[in-house]
Amino acid sequence: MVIYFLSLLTIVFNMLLLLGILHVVIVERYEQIDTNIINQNELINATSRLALSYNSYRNAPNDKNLSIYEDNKSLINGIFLLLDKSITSDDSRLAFLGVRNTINSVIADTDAGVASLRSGDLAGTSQRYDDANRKLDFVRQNVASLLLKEINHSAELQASTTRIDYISSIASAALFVLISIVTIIISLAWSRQIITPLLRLDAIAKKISDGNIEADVDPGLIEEKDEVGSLARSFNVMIQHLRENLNALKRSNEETAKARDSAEGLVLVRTKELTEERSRLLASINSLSFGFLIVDMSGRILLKNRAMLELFGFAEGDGMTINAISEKLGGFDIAAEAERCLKGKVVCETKEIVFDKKILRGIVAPIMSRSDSDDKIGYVLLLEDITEAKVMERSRDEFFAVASHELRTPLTAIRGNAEMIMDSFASEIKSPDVKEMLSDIDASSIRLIDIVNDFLEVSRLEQGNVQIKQDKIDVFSIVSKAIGNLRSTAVKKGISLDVVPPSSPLPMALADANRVEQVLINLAGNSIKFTDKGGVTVRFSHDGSFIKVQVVDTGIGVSEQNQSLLFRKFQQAGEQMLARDVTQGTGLGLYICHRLVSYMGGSIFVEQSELGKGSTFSFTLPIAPQ
Amino acid sequence: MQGHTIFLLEDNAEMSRMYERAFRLRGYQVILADDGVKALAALDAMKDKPSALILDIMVPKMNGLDLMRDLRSKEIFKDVPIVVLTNSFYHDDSARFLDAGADLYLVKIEHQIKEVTEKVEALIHNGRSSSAK
Repeated sequence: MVIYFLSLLTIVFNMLLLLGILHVVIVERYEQIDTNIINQNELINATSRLALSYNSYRNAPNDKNLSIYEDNKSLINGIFLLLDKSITSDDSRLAFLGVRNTINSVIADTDAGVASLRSGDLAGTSQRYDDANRKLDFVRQNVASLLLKEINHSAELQASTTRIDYISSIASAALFVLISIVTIIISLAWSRQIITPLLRLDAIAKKISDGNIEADVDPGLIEEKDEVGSLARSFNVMIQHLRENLNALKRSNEETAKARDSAEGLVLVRTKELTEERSRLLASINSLSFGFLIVDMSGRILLKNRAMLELFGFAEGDGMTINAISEKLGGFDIAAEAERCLKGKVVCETKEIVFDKKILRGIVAPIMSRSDSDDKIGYVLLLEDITEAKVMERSRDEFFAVASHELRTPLTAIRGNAEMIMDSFASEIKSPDVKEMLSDIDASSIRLIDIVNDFLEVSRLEQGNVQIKQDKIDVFSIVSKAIGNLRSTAVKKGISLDVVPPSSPLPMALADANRVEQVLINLAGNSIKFTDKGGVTVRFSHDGSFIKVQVVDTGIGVSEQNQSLLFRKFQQAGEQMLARDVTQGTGLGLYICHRLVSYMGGSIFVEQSELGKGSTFSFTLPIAPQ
Repeated sequence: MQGHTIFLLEDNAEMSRMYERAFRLRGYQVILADDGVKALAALDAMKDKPSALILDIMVPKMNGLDLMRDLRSKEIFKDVPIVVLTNSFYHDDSARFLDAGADLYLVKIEHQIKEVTEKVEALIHNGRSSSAK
């Protein structure tokens, strides 16, 4: 379409150019005639001026007038030349020749006159002037007829110009139409020649892009020898390659789809599994009787369970926050607890929290992104209502305390009677068996009494119903005095019992004298019990903050694995209880000592112990401020 | 000591027999009561005042401390040593009783029977001022 219009445009332009030239040529022609007409008029004037200039010379025959005369003559000749060249039509030429002859005869006259004048011959010079003037009329006539002829020619030419214009307009219009038609036909044919194959190729390309990769190029097109054919062949090759690629792609897609389907299948299965697992977890978390929270590092609650909401009286949609909970708990700073716990990366138990007539226990567990990393995601907070457990524990403790208490009187009776029999009725007991039995009854009752007393002591210590005095005491003197109580036992066993005085006087300790005595008797008593040879030694030292009392024995010792169990209540190491402190003791003595020493602000520990060699039990007491 | 009478208030039968025997074997006559009301009645009925009063403070029908104060208010018992016995684990009553006029506060289970008789005898022998707590 574009080509058609372009060609049309070119043709029209050419045509107009042609016409333009034609027109211009014609216009030039009658313009020339117009010029001729002007020149012809000039002739008359020039001839007239010639005559006049001759006259002037005749009157004043100087060089100046002569040159003016010559100029006029040149002028006339110049015009003759011009006209001679430009007058072309036959009748005009005849007229022109007539004019020229006439004017030339005028010139002849004047020239003759000039010549005479120049030679000084004045005769006939004025006659010459008259002749010239007379001829001027003829000149005018001739020029007029020439003029007339020229004007006619000009009119004719103008008419023919107009005619030409008219004709050329029609002709150009006709030509325009003709050429347009031709151009249309040609361009249509030509474009069909080119466009049809292109359209066909385009159609194939469309088919292919729509997915029909089996479309082929027309064999006809391929056969073509020209550029179209070449294009078609190239196109065909391209289609082949494309087809191969598409097939390969299809295959690869199918494989990927298969893999993806199976992966998707796996993912679906796994997702379903995970979803179910999550549902189970959430259901489990919601079914927990204690409050459960998952909190992120910024303190935002990510997950909460029903029990937690109920514990604090929040409804599902309420914005329960850590701060809100802390406030309800009377200012118990959950965030601070969590921070402490996260820093240590350990599970922490909070102290007991009293809330709304309940006793709660909190547990904070950090959540690491991986078990081996330091990246903390957040923490889990558990709040357990242990009120009932506490109440039960308390009532159990009370029960045992009451029960133990009840045992005291009967035990007193057993021991007292056994001893009275042995003391006051010894003479009446002949049988050594009976004597021995009585002795055993007595010993057992004493042991039972010790157990009961220890039990009650523990109970009292745990209740916190203990008055521990804080007095300035002299540890050395208290220990020395207390040791006296055990001396007889040591002597009976044949082992030594010594108190080594400190190298320099000890500072005063801040403690409870009775309790210190109690602890020492326990430790030293144990040492004596478990030592059969050698002896027990008590040593003192201090480090500026604490006074240390060491009870060193050469007894049976305690194995390393049992050492960690020593200061606990009745810890069972498998089937056997600990040898030390239980078989001939109550199993609570060291625990009581531990409690008492802790209350006094010190510590108690096994400094060293080796099976078969001996042990060193030590306790420390804070030095009284000066 | 011969001829001395000891008054014993004890509600537990075994304990009562035990202490009675212990003092009897030492030559004392023991007057028994097993509750506060009976104790006061028995004491009123006694012709001679006892050499010592041994009172278990956890007896029925009367608060031990009140009984103590009651007895101490009587002129007749002015010079009679009063020994208070208990098997309670909780000691803080001792101060109160001693302030109220008891001469000795003994936790039964903590002492051999022998010690109890010896301490009581010492009081009887040496008078109230010699009380060793």
